[in-house]
Amino acid sequence: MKLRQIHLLGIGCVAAATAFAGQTSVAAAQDVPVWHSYTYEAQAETMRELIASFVAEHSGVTIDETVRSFDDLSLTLRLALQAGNGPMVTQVNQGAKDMGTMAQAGLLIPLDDYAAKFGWGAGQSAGIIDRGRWSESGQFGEGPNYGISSLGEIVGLYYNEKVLEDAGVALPIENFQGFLDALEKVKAAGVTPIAMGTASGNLPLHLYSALAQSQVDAADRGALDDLIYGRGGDFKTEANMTAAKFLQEWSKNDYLLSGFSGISGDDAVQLFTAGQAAFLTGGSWYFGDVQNNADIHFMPFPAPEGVSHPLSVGGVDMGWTITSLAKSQAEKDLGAEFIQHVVSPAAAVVWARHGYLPATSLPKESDVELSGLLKEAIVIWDDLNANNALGHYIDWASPTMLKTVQDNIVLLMAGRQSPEEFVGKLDADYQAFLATK
Amino acid sequence: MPSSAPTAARSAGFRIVLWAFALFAIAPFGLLVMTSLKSQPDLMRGAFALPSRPHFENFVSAWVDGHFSTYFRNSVLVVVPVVIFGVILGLLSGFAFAFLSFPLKKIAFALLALGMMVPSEAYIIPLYYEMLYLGLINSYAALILPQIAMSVPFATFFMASAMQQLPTDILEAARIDGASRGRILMKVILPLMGPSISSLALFLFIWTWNEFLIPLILVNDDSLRTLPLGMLFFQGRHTVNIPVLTAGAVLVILPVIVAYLFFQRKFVEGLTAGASK
Amino acid sequence: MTKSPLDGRPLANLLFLLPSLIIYVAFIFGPIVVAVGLSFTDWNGLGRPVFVGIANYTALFRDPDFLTAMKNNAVLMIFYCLVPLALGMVLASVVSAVPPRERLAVRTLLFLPYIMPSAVIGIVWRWLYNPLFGPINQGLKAVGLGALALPWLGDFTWALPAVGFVVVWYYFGFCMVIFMTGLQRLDPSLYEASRIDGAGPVYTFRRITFPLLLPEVRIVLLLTIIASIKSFDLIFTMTRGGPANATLVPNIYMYEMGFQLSRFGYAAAVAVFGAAAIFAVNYAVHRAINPKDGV
Repeated sequence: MKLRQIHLLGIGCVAAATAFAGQTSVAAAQDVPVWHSYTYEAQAETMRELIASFVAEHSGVTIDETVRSFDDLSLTLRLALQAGNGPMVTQVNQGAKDMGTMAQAGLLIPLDDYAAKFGWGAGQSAGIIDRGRWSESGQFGEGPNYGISSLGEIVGLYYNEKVLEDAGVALPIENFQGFLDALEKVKAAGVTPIAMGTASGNLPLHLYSALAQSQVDAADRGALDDLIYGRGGDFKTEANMTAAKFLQEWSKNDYLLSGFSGISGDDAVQLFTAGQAAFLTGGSWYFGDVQNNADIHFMPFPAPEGVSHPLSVGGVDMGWTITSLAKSQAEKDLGAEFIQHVVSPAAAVVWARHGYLPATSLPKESDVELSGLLKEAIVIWDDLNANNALGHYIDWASPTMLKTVQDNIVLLMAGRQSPEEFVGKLDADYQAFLATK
Repeated sequence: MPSSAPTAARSAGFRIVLWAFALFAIAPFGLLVMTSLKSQPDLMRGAFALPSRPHFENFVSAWVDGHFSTYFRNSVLVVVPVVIFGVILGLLSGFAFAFLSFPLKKIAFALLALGMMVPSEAYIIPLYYEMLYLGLINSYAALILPQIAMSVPFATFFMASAMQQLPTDILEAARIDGASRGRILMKVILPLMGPSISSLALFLFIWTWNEFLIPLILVNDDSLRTLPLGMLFFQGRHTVNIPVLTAGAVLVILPVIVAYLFFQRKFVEGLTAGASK
Repeated sequence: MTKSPLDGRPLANLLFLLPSLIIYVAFIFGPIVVAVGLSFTDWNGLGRPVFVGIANYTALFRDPDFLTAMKNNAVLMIFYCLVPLALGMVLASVVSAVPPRERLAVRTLLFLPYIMPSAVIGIVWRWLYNPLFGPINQGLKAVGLGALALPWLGDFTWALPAVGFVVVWYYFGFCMVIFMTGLQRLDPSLYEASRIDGAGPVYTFRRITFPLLLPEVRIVLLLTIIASIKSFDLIFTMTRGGPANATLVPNIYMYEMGFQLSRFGYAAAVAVFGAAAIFAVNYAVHRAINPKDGV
């Protein structure tokens, strides 16, 4: 009897010890620093929810969250990683300046294996994944993938249904000519046709790009891809020239909000939401602000007749990536699981519930309440992906392109630069960049 | 005060002009405060329109959403050591420049002057790496130490010029009595420096309170950020909500105004006394 | 210079200076030296800097954006230095017309802009200048001057003066206060004499007040010149250097080069050049204004 008791006691102790040891090895907590740029209130809330559910599912793991604005993130990320400091999982902006240079410096970890394992990018066009690719030789668009995104972005045409109906415009607008006719009718009715503000933000860039790329059919997208991926090519295309001409014409002839050069982009959006203009060309990231006005709808920028699958500027938001701070395989796996947690179909439901367009398709059986705008956007998103018709942000073409566009587009709109000169400046910037590669 | 005995009318005219300029100086603040009490629909009705009722919830919103309690605490935790050490170091080195001779004095002077003229943007990146090597990134030390260093040149020159205006006979007498320099500094000079010290303290307070580049670059953690940085960050999220944005601005400005109004007499006296050198 | 009664052996003297010097060199001067070194390299923040000699400096002189920045800064100096100085001096002279109690209130109010964080001021004035929501344009329209209600900060011609206006608002109280003290040190008997001789206020100001205030003029010029070249927060928050570089100043350019384009070597060269410019201008002012009597 005594022996047995001792035996049991012994087994009990060992069991307890192993259970305890198991506890402590898990409780030797893993602290994962995560940086992201979801600063807007609803976005921040979504991240908090996702982080909370991740921590609940992974006991012993804490997430150390840092939120920075877009510019701050860009600067401080490179400084931190270079110094062996900073996040293990982070968002990073695609393009040469951030993702490209960091990937080449070995600060980011390729994600292709994890992508295969978790099915990242399923349902997205190949072009989307390519935007996170950087080869060893520094070629954009090829090689391992370094970033997977939570949200999709589309630059499209917002329109105020009520304002248009009051002006006698027949909806839906079928093509570009229909759009031009609508502009005339709205102007005749005494309402500002297009909301615009150039003092800050990138509204002119988006209007310009949407105009230019809607003239390009998805089948002919090769030239644009080459341009953005730095493989060569030319900005002086017919589409770019036409877009510049229209933009200048509209600026000079009062088709834009009066005083637009002193109005910020955000102000223009606010004014549009308040019904002060009929149209706004901008990104789906404005849904949170615009959805307060039920008359406002979203459509792809209307293309000229004959272009069956026009490109819509868009893509995905900043990519999630694992940094070189994840040294062990366990840490890398944990990082990947976090990314999975914020880009999975389940995550897509959470994002959609808060009003955002997920890059990943929603599961068929989800019954989440979607705002009208989001429903419209998802239809467009699926269609664009199916036809590989997602256009590009032209400021990705070179590290200085954004500044070049911002500086010159206001000159174009003020009539101080001809469309030829404007497109010439963009091209000069790009060619100079190619020369340094 | 020179008096050219202006006529009554001219005198009244000057008064009007002065008060007009005074109004010009504070009008933006007035509008700021008024806007911070409005709601967004109120805004649409016009910039000068009074709000239907004061919307104090804007301030609550700014304080809470903008994490202003954290930033406020941090600003205080940083400002206090910077001001204290800035004043102490200013007294010490100001004493040296005012009364003592040492090798390379002119060069030391130029060295310090250089620091006042070069903007912090120029050396912030090397400073970042230095903090990294010292293991001080993301700590209060990273916020405090460089700002003490930044206070040193001005504090030195300010104290030096104030000390040079002290009557020399007292100093001579103390020296003849055999007191050590340290003692003289503490027992004789210090008590006479009251106004200068408080104005220096106020200057350092204002500059440190308003600094934004150092906290931006040297600190990652939101929990360590200071108020102006919080304001900048807050603006990025709330450009669309102007009343809350302006409420945040009022919260950032308020402590400085309070400190200034409290000390302003001594402040201006000290400023002009030091500056006249 | 007479030896001070408090002087001692140099080594012992240094002890007073040492703590300040150590912390200053450690955190300010050291990094400045490194920044100067960086200005001779090409560096994007990753990897090692690459030595390029004076290539950055030669590129600076051919850089149209940099030259625009320098030109804008020169224009802004009018608003940073000359206008506040003139306003400050004039206001200081007439403040005697106000009873002493009110004088204190006026002085306090006029000084207030200077103590504000310049980042916040930028935000405030950007709102003031807003073509649609802002009080300035709304006020202009209300009094029938709607034609003047321009998009100020977005206008190529008027953005720089509009920024300059804010700068004047920021500094003129500060200048006035400095001059007020200056005036306090002047001997009233001088004015008695000239009044007896029948001199009018303008003559008095031109021939007596102004020359005697030269020490203050020198200080104000020095401080405002430094401020003009160091300016960043104020202009950046209002216009970011736009539209199309109409309000670009060297410090903002340095920020763009370094923090946005990651060209840290080039940015350092811009910074060094800016500092050198301050030194040069200050030295010139120092030499040009030599008060004959006074301090």
